[in-house]
Amino acid sequence: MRRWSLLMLSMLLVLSLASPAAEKITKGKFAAIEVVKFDVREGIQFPPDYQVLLVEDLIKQLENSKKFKQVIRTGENPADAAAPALKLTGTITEYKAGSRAKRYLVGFGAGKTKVVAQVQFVDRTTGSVLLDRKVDGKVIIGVIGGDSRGATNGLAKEVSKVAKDTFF
Amino acid sequence: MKHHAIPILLAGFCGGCLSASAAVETESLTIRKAFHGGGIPRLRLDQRVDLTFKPDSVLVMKGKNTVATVPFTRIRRVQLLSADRHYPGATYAAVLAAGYGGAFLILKKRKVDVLLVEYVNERGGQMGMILQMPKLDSARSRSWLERFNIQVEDPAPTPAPQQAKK
Repeated sequence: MRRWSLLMLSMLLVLSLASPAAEKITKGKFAAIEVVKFDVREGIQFPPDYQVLLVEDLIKQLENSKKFKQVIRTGENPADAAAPALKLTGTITEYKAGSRAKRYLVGFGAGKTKVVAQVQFVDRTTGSVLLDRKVDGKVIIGVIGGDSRGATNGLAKEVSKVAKDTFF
Repeated sequence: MKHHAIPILLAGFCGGCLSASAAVETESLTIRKAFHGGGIPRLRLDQRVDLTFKPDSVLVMKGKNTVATVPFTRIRRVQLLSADRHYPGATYAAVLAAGYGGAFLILKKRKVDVLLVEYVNERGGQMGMILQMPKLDSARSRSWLERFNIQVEDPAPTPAPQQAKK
């Protein structure tokens, strides 16, 4: 009995610690988002052109979501500087280059391209991390095997969905 | 008299042509039919573009339209990478023409260089432009940029990403 009550107490403690972070997120509060170039974890050989492509894909997908009034790049300022804004940062934690030829000729998941990132949505004013999430992008199949660059676009789509679901 | 005059006239004309083309070479360098690898708004991936390097800027042209202009003063970093290109369009045609055997054309790759230009836009925002071109053209681009004091970096090679040709 005592063991159960201790367990319940510890669970309540964990919930009480976790809830303030969730309460911080007010739906529809943020009108602008800044996209920062993702870092690459040491040892991960993520091509530099994919890093640039990922930023472009993130900007495109966040704009297409039509939720943010403004999607800005590092170095730019939002139109309304006083309005609350988000900052999207992240780290590439896993990358598998894959092979278009294997995807086309073998199939069944062979030659899969995969990009995994740990992304953070940060309040641009306070600097507090509002959301920390693992997201990924994959190319498993496509026209003539599918272009490997689609993995960054897949990741960007998932980030955009997470942003839409969490902040709106 | 007339027979002597023609070669002299021709020589004068050709001399003029040579000096004119040499003048153009020093004023600008044009790389034709590079592939757009990303970063330029309103352009699809793998669209063909022409690059014109001038003494103070680089222009990206689609036909007669300039789709991007990057002054050298706004360039922050230039990297030259290696990549492979497949032939998905040709593979599709080969499959239609020769059946499943044609699918093996996907194994054929072509080595290309990727010119990665990182720059800032007029609002100070960080941007990037990815262009794929043959090795000979990338060497010409590099020498042009270095002539105007823009450092071109060669990062450590990474596993070649599979990139498509449409």
